[in-house]
Amino acid sequence: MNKFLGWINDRFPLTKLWNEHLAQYYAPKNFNLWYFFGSLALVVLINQIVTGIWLTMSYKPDAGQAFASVEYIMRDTSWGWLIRYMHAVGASAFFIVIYLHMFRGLMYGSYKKPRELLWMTGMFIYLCLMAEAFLGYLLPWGQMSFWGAQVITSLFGAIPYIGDTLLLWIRGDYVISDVTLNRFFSFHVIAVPIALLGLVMLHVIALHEVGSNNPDGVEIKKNKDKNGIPLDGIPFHPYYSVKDIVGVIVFLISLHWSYFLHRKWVVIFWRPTTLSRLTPL
Amino acid sequence: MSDRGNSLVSEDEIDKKRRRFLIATTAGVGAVGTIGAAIPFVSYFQPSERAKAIGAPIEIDISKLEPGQKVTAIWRGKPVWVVRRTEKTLKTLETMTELLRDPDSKVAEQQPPYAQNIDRSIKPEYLVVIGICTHLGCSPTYLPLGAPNDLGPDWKGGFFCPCHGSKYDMAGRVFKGVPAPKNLVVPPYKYLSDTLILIGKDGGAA
Repeated sequence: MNKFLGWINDRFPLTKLWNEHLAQYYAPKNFNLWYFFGSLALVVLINQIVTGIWLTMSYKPDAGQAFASVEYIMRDTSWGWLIRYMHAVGASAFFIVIYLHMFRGLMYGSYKKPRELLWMTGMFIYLCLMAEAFLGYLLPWGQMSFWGAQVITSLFGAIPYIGDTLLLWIRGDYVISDVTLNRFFSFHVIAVPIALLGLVMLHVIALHEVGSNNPDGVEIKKNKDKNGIPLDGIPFHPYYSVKDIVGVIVFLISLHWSYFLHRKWVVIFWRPTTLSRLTPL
Repeated sequence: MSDRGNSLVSEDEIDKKRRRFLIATTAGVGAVGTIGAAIPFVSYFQPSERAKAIGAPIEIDISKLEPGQKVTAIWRGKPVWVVRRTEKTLKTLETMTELLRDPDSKVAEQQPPYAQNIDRSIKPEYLVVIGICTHLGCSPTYLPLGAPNDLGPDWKGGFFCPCHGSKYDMAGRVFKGVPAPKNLVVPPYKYLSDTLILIGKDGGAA
């Protein structure tokens, strides 16, 4: 095994990456509850990507088939209903988690020097996330999808001089139609997720360059022992990796509560009109 | 670690055993959760209710089938043949043994138990098989005795696969020395009446 690892390490910095980002990446030892939300955001991101891939297997981005294909996922596939709930509730949970994550940053001044770029990349992630959620909202092709897309795209129509032309260009039709649905689908499943993943990578690289802030504002990199290890830090793995699992379990229990026991919460996130067939009238 | 003056606990006070236990149990619960979460994603790949409905059992009416004739129906996207065999044809089956790879239909998954006999059928007069070559999935051609063919004067009737030359006799039993490894598959079926066959369901009857 060590020989194999050596073979890999001579060609790819596997152990180096592992140590730099996990086993010898030191995080402040005084994290509190607020520091769960970064890793939870990553968990929801993975949830959205995996469930999204599975939904794409049965979803049809076609104005004539979209609504029925969603009902097909709900009724005819094995566990499709759960995978769709995980995706839809996950989208709402994503924003809850991200807002708490941002609030933590504001509360403890985590956007201040040297973490300005960490905050900025986070803001771009947030923008992408809003775009992603908005694009995905059209796909079930129900009433709320249509009218939601109608209202949000109309915002661009309010721009002076170019508004009407821009609106036509975004929709690709005189109304939200099959063309719009098709391009929103393309953006939702490919373009924005790629941008999102790239930005998340930048966000994590920036974080690991400057290190985490903490409730007491201690810069752990300023106080190191003779081996260069921060005195107020503990290795991310296994200490925080395992601790984060506890956060993930609590988080998932609350999501499962809505999938399995209190389905009406799913609908509250959804609004009932999402479930009625689209009419542009 | 002794130089870490501001540590809250010194090295000797750490209960390593307890710590290891907590790490192992937390990671264990995480692993169980991951496996559990994989179940819906794996079963999603199974045929959906729509696919199952389309693949439901079908009925074949054989009232107009003349001796020697073959009728083809589609079940789950595959051709299902019903061939009405004559007394003469059924007699040739006994003479084929030497030429066949599995004359007694010993490979159990190729037919339900009630078709594990020399004529591979419930009623010897009617052969019911899936018309898919067990080699690479082509559909063989029906060449009854007397049909024009180049298979030689000894040909007693059967099925010939044009893709790679596999041969089967009039009970769908595969010949020796051809690429196909197994006999043609007999689907589960039962007689709803003397002239109506249900393909795809046998009620578990032996």
